[in-house]
Amino acid sequence: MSERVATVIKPVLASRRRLPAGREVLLLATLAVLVGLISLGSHGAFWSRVNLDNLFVGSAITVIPAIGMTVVILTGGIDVSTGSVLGLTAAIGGTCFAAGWSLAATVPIFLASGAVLGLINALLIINGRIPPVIATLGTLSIYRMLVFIVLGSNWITAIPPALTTIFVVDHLLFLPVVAVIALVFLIGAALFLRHFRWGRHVYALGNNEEAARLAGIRPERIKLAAYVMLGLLTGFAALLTLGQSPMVQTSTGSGFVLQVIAAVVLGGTALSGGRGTMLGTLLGTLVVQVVDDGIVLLRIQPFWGGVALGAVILAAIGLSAHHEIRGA
Amino acid sequence: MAEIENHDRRARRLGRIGLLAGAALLAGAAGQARAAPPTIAFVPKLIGIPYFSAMKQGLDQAGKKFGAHIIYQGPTTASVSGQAEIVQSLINKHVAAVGVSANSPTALEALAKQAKAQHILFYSSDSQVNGPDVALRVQQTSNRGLAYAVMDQLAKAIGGKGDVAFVSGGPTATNLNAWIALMKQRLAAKYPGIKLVSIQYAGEDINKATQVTGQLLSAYPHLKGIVGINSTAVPGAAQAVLRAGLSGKVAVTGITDPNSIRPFIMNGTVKSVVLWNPISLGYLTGWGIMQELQHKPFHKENTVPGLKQKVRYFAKTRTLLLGKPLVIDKSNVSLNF
Repeated sequence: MSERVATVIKPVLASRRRLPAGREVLLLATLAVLVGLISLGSHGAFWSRVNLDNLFVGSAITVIPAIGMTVVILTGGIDVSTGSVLGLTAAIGGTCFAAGWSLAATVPIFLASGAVLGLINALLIINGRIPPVIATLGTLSIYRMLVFIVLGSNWITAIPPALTTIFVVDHLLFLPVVAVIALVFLIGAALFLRHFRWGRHVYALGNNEEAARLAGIRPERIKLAAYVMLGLLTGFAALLTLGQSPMVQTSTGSGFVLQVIAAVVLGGTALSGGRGTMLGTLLGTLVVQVVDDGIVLLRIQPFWGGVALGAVILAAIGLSAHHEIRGA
Repeated sequence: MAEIENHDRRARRLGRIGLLAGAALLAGAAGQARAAPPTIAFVPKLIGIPYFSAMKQGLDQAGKKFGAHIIYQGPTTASVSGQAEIVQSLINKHVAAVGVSANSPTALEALAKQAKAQHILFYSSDSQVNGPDVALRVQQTSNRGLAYAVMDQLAKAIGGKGDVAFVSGGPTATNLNAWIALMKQRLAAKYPGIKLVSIQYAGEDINKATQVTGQLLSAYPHLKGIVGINSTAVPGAAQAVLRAGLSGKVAVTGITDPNSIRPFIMNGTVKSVVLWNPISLGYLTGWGIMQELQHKPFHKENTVPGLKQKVRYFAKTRTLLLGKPLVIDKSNVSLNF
């Protein structure tokens, strides 16, 4: 590596450490205000066990694929097929359940299906040289049609109740098990991005792919790992979704990807790549879920839910853009 | 290949027998026997959901019995334009009859007119199309009968009083909103002790229904009952009640099919739900179209070979009415649709 390239790449790698914490602070404040308002407005119903569990389960199922999505977006890519991956994985795994397979035998099927679907996305993007949004738009549609073929116009209801008991009903450290798993994954991913070479390469790649390549980083490998990891995590989320509600429909997972991308982007990850954190993604997810929760708890007409969520996203992003322009 | 031909011949033979039987039953109407069985196309709101697959099952049975070839094609999401495109292509194919379970009561009127101009019979079944060009409508059960039956089951489950909430599908779905209005009417007239505190919308998504119900249980701690207005809302609500450990404390009922609700009826979270039999609805649709194609008139009350109940016909709206709603509980939850 020549001296010149090193001087190009060094600030790129370092920029990660100088990340403005503005977005996280802003989100935390937003979250505090929202929770405060909802607690008051709902006369404390927000803090009921049923509601908190509901909130944590919903957040966990969104945040697990959002971890993968954050990494994909950090590399400068995107995957809009995640909802279809979730649906197809649920259909394949659900078919195994319907055939009488045990939970233990089927869990690997969920993970493997998700990983394979992620791998197909990766190969289209890397080897096929198709822009990520177009490649995954294609698989979004193909995977969804495969759901119809796998399910053959039936819904699968033969989901083992143990799935709900283990991940959703049972608690560990006062949290539903699925929320504990999500936290462990988040912390793992955050440490990985911060302290491992590959993690730092993710940021470098997203900031400037050419410079990263000149610095000896192999973008293909990192991208491949990112998309496969997102597929794997989505496969796991599919399993958890069936624990949340025990039915596979042809529509399972449609609209899910918007929720995931909204959480990641609201969390401060730049769609252009190279900038963003796991903490941001967690906070983004929580804000989205709390807004959704508050609509019912505050007894507001449900139509306003979409409006409120859109407003929060625009406000958060608008404010932080303002903050960054002033800070720069 | 040979197998298919055999099957075709058998179907045709069966068809002829069916035609003869039909003609014998309804004296006075001359059946116009055709060389090839007519093709009847049905375009559901969307494909890939068990409800319409059950209707198709009934249509196929009727096709076999009365001698018709059935085409079943539909959009993958409940989209008005997707449905219209498919109807258009079927009209271009010159099928004998084409019909829909409509995604919109008005958007398909023009296509009905176009079909009529080309001497293609246009019908609607399950969810109706407005206008004078619809030759036949087949209605599952009266909206009133269904909505009232659900409120009666609810009242029975919660002992006639308490706070309840509804979880519906799409906020603009015509039939769901009509049922909700009639349910409110029944509550006001017959069960003044039952108070409807909230209506939430979860689309056709069981996860959303679970989530919304969980939130309802927190927002209204004194809730006694939850009514799901569509087939995914009921199991979704039941799952949330079960998860919150409120089985037996909060009643869940509504409009859904036995396959979706079976686990919850078996574990006791749900006592009963209400629906009609979609297989019979499809079958009646097939029978009614064959009557029309053969120019046989309907009576006020009709005996349909293969259906137990008599079927009423309303000449003014050209509507066949399948009958009373079906209450599904532990005794008949093994029905497969």
